Amino acid sequence: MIEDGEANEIKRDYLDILESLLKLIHAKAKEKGLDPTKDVHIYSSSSKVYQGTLGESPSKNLLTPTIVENLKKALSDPKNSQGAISIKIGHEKVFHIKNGEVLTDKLGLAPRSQKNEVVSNERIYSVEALQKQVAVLQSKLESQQKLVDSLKKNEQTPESLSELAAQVAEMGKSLEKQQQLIENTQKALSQVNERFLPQVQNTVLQNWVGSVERQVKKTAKNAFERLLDALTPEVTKLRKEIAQMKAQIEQQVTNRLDEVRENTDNIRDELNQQIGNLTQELRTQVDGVKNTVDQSLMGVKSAIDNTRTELRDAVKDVKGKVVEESVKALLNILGTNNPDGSKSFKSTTFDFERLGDNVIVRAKNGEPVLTDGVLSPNVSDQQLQALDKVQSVVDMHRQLENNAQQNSESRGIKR
Amino acid sequence: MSSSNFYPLSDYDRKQIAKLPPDIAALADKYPSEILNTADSWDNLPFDANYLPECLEVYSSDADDANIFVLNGVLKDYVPSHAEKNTSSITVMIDGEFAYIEVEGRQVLNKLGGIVLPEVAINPELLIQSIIKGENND
Repeated sequence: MIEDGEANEIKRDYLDILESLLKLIHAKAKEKGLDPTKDVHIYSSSSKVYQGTLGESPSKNLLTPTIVENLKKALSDPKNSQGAISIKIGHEKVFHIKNGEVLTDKLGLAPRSQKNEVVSNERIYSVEALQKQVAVLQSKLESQQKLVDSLKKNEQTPESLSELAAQVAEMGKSLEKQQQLIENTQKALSQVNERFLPQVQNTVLQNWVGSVERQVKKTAKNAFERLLDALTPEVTKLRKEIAQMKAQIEQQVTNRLDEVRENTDNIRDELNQQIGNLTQELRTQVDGVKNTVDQSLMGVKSAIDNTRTELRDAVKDVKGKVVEESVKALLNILGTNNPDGSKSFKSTTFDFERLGDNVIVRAKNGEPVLTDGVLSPNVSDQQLQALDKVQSVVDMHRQLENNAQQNSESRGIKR
Repeated sequence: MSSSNFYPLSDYDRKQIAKLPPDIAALADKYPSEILNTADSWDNLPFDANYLPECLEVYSSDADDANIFVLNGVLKDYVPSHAEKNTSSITVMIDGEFAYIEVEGRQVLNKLGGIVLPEVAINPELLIQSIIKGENND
């Protein structure tokens, strides 16, 4: 809400501007030899908004601050003025500006350099312009594709890869904007057919207006179809290509990661392999040493065992002969003569028997203990000890015999 | 400025309007701008035979912008109306002069004379630009 004071100030401002503009118009009119006493008429679009002469109260003043501002712009900065303004002095049109374009300027009101100079700040909308924009995107895309291709050759660093990804994303956005622009244009073009120009009663005018409308609709329809035919597939293709490129870049990034991962895995595997090999080698060496030691020990053991067995066998051998001699002596002393010519004696532990030179000792179970001077391998230590006693029995008996003989000899001497 | 906008008539305006035929002057309360323009141009001579206009503007009551603006045979502006909108007045300006005005389907000013309405060339680029500008002003 504008306060009264402010409103008054704005009004004073625009009245000042208006007065200086009117002075300018009058002065210029005078210069050009036009009658300055005639009324100045100012029109905004098709409506008269001012009518008056300088120094007099205007007969009509519907100028608003907005219109005055626009009028000021029309005379000082025409290309940025909006709508239509025309000025007449009497019935003579001296100034006409529309959409920033000075159409008439008989008084030289507008700056000379800007006269008839159409500078459009508007965005360009045309199939050609849109095609050009799409073509720019296409060429950008092509150069990006080259970069993407170079990726496959691993020429890209991770930094340039992310930069490229950003560029492609940016291009995707541009394409979206482009697509939006095309859609808006298509929408506007299609709406042309739903809108109409007013019907004019005058036949000549109506024919003219009608023909303009038909022509416009035809042009719009053509442009719409051209957009559809020429641009839509291009944009669709571009969109596809950009999507593909994004996928390729993502793939490259993934590959890079995989590669790094694979390298890491390889190194780890290799390391593990080496450690495994080393361990295996150490184990083999240790095992080798152990085996050697074991084998050596085994050798020693078996050597000892062999020696022991040999020794035992030798002892047994000797012992067998000794025992046989003892048994022979025992049988000579205590043996019973058998009808077959053999001699035998039975102790509590063994059965002794001799036939010719053959001596055999059997355990009570009938198992031979000594045969032909050879001890049975199954002979037990107890049996050996018992056999040892045979000699002592023989020795004891011989001692008794000797004692008896000496006694009889000494008795014979005494006599 | 359309008839729907506030458009007060001054005493001077009313004096001008009073010169018009009463049936036309009677429309001034409803269409002050159109009727004042009619009064201002009432005494003008019609355009000469074979007059070839440079600048053609067609205004209808519901918009500040011209529906059609043709400059040197090229369509510069094209601002169609929604079909449902009723057009109560039409003003045709030729080279800045009021050439034709109709109100509620009734012709109140016709200075077309022997004018030759130009063949209109349409530049698709300008057309699209104009249409989109019109859309944005909706």
